[in-house]
Amino acid sequence: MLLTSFSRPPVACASKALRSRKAGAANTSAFRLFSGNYHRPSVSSKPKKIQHAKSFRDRKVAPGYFASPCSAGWRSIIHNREDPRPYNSPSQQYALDEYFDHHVNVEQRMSQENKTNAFNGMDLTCLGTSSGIPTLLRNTSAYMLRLGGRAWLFDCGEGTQKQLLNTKIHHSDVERIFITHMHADHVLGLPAMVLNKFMSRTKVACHENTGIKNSTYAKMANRTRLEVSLLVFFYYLSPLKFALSHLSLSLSLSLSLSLSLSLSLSRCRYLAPQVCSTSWAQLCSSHLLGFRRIFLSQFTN
Amino acid sequence: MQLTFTRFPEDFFITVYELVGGHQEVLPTQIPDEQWVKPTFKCIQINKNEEDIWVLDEGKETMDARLTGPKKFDPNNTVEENKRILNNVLGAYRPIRVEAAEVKHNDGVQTFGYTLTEEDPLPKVDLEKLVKHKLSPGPKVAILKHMQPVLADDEKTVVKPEDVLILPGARGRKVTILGDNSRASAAMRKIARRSDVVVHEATLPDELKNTAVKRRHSTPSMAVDFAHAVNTKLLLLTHFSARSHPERNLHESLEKDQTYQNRVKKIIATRDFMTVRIPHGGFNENDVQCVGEDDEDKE
Repeated sequence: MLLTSFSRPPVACASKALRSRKAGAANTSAFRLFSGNYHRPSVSSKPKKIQHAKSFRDRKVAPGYFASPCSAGWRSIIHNREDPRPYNSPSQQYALDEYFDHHVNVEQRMSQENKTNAFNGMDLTCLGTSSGIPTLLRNTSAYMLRLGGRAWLFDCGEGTQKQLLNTKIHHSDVERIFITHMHADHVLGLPAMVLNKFMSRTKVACHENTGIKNSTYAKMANRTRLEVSLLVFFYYLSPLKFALSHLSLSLSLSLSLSLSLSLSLSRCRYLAPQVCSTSWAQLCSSHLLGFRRIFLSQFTN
Repeated sequence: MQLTFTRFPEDFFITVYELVGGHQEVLPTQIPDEQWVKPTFKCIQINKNEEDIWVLDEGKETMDARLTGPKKFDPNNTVEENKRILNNVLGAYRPIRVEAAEVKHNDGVQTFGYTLTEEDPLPKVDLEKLVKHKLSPGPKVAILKHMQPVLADDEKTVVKPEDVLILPGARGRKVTILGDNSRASAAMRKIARRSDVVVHEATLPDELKNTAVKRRHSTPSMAVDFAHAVNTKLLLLTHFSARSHPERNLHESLEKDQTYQNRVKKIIATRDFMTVRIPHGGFNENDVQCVGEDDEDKE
């Protein structure tokens, strides 16, 4: 199945090239590259338009796992692969349908929302409802409270930014982040979240006539503002360190931690070498201590 | 290996609020002044009450936000436009009081629960009663709304606020979000009383109650106990374990169980992107509006 579909497109290309050479029009891609006629595409070498499915609503299963109407090229290679995971249960199908509907209609919704008045209520959105390990339909825990134009986050599990993309709130609108406790599934999204806040430099509008323009408050307001109400050991502002220091404590999460740590290490760009070394030293020492204890207990028993 | 920024704007500002003085606090908290710490920090330490409650009151910051809201207030605009903008801003930035209290989770991990309480909205005025007491609408009514007596238009009789206002007025909305816990403290129960929404974890099902207590997590029945003690209208269950809570019958089993429903008015087992809209003045009896992903188009 896979092989046959792979062999088709190169054959088609070769035949096309042959045909064009016979006709005398030297418009193969290689020739064009060397002659420098980039801006003059010929009629014969126009790529065929790939036909997409009409809408995502027609699909009942995830893309990439079913045979699609598109014909040649890499698409067929991907889509003709046999389905490794059956989407038989109705709840899963339902969720996926919702997912596609949401993604298709994002632009329409944005335009509609701009026309209406500013949102004035109070909304509580669950961005993640799973415990230690994220599943296909659930992310690690994060909740968002929307108050007028601003949004407050409660906990920031890993992948919260990605979850935020599916809502109407932009990450620059996040004003405060509350953290309940320093377990990995509640905290690991924080470094990336803070970094992204750096990058998006939304400025708060300042009222000019009140005379507070030059005051410290106005200066503060003009800076990009993020407030992290954080609690237990928030020195160095690197939540990774807490995660590391609590590695040994949260045994129930150890498996998911090792995975998510590697991910967040690649993201976290402001981790100093000292911090890293000390925390690893702590970790190692704690593990060594643990081993010694185990050893001793066995010895005494 | 050193990790660095590609781009680091200087005008970045972070405020860190620390809740100091908890039971399980071990290390001293401070932000060192080193070279690589470039963003400007403001560290605010909040000490707890006599009642073991941390309070984060918005007052001053809210005023700041009112003056520097997201929409610009320009003198060049028309008066009506400015009024609308100001009203919008004022409506959006009603001050919110945040309270925090400790709950019991794993040893050595300090865990908090938060409640957000909105300011009570001003009570409304009965217009027929206004005419009876010979008061014309104006600035005097605004004074009445703040529960202060006022002279009538003929400046002889005194009008009390109880005569004109519709009392009791609406309450501000209240939301409670708990961290992982096996048992909420008395302080947590105190601050979460009569909240409109409670977000509580239910990691393991009721059959595994012993393991849940061992791991310092809770089951749906424990969450319902808390919600019943606190007297909420809506309980949201979250933090489901992937192994022990199978996805198939989760919603049906939790939301339609009668033993739970006798104790709490409405239970919802949440899923991702579910949105609960809390109306002005909190939930009424039998009135819980829940906007799922699928219902958003119908609004």
